[in-house]
Amino acid sequence: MHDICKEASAINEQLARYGVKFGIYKNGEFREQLFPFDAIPRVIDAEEFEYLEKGLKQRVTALNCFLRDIYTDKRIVKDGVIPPEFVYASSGYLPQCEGVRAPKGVASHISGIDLVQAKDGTWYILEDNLRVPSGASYPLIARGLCRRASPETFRERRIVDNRDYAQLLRRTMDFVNAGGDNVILTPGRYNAAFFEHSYLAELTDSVLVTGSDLFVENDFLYYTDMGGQKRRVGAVYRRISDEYLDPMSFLPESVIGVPHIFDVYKKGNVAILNAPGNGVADDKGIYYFVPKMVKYYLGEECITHNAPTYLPYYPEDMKYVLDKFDEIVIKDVAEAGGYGVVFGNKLTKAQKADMLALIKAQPRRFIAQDVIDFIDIDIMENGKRVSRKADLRAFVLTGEDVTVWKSGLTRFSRDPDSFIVNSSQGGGFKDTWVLSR
Amino acid sequence: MSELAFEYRMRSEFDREIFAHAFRLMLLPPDTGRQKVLGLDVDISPKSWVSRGRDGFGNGYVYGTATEGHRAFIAHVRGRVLTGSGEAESGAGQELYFIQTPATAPGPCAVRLYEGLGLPDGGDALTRAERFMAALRQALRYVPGVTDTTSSSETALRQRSGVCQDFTQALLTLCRMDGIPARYVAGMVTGEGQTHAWAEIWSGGRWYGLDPTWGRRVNGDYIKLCHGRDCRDCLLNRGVYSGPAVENQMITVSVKKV
Repeated sequence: MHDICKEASAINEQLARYGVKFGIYKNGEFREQLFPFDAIPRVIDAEEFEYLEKGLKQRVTALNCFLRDIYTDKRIVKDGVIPPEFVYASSGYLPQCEGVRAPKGVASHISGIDLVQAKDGTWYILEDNLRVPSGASYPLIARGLCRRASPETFRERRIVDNRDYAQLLRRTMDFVNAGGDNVILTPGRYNAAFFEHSYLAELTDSVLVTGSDLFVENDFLYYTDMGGQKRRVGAVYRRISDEYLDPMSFLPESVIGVPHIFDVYKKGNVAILNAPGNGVADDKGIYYFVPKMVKYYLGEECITHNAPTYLPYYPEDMKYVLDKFDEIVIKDVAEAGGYGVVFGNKLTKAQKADMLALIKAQPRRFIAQDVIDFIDIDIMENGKRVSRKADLRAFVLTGEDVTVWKSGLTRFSRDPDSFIVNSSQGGGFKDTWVLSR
Repeated sequence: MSELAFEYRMRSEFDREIFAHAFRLMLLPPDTGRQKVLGLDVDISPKSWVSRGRDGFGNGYVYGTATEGHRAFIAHVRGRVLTGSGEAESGAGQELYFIQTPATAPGPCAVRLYEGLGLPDGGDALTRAERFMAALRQALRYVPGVTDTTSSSETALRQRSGVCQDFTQALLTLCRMDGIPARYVAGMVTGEGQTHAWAEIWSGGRWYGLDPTWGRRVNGDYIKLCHGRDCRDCLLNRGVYSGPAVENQMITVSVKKV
């Protein structure tokens, strides 16, 4: 492990050369920044990972049940388990998807589940990302570079190889493919995760396309290959959000989508990964109900733990929020990427009053959580070992079976005072080692 | 009951050739408890591949793409509809229409209007909605061109003016504030040269049509095309194409008693 740390700057240079960068568009300006890699891995032993694997499989299975149900029969709403407004007022709920059945019943093919470990060792789920979770490519490429930099590190330890991600992803696409080639649809090179799109396309033998490369004819989806031949597309791993996917069904002003792709999908002639409409299940408000979903659909106790969460929508939870305001974190359900997260104790008196007024006016818009004191992880900073907050994004792939990738993206905050680890907020990443015993 | 003959004609002209012109036309009147379609004819030029689909609200549409270059696009829909066969429409899924959308979310003007009415509790939803409709006749004037399809009801209430779309969304705002499910309807009515919009109110397990622009209940003069949560769900024609052209679009609608 010592050897890898010595190689860290060389590895970072290679990552930069491969284009492992994050594009950020903020205040009307586009900037690209490196995604700093820290060589000290997060290590998860076999027994611990077995627990996580079991819990994550159960969770994603239940979330897929929910997505199947919510756009068709809505049993979970009719049976009073989830209040209807949490579904219909969610910005991720898309009425366009009503009555649409995802091919082979899978709606969340690639799920990115964010976890943190508390100081007592308990793992908590922070959020489920079921739309276009990114990040698998980073530990994947870092592992390859680390192995090259220090082969003996990997020879001497029982670390499960994580380089099977591409095969898992390919299998996931093939399982739902409706006949034709697999493509990865990217919004283009200005997207934050463009490196990942191109890298995964290369590794999965998929065609990397933008919206203007694809076209629909007579209810089938095609692209034109390098030789000028029209080729049918059977599965689209799209890395653009639902709203921009098809200007004929969603935002009419979208220019990065593919006109009519949603109609082709509804007719069963192409698979879209992940399915449109998944936002209803990874909404921060719906998160509260995931353990109830597990019980409702699977008849099992939920293995994973949610962070203690309160919905100001319920009067008793509102009271808790008012009483414990300085000890909790407030999250705006409509925001992502670390935006819209407010720690009660970091607000001035005036800000606090504004926030409370907002919560009272729009209780459905917010959730509150106890602040989890999570484990710090060591990173190297200017040749010194220091500890920082970190989380783990685990990737769960659902095709014929549900598979948890034996690795994951560990993100850390570079700011010693910050709990927010999102890459869009300047954090760095680590590889995640799962030990085979 | 009356039999209505309708004609919707859209002609788009481009100042230079355009390609890959994708379109979606939500112009297929549905069979409902209130209307029955007797005949329908859709013509699109230039030559395109054409298919039919249905959205999540149950609205039917025609879609396709004109691949070859062209400088004019014409969509012509004609049909005959038997209307006024019932007063209301049955349905389900009304819980979706409780919820305000960004286009109907109440702001200070809506709150002032709603509270100013001081409507006592009770009474059926339709009667309450009719009170809101009457109030809107005072609050809004019909002025074309001051709003567009992205305007909210609050904008219209603030400027005290708008068109049928704004009257309708303002009625949805008030009904939903009152806990009444209400939805947006796009369609056509006799005596107007363009498409029209009105609201449907969920009352006693059925949907009733109210036209806040004209301040009346929907009758046999109306042909419904589609419904949704607000105006954005009911865009009757969508189109995208390649080419740096300037588009000039003309739409004419005629509805006549047979």
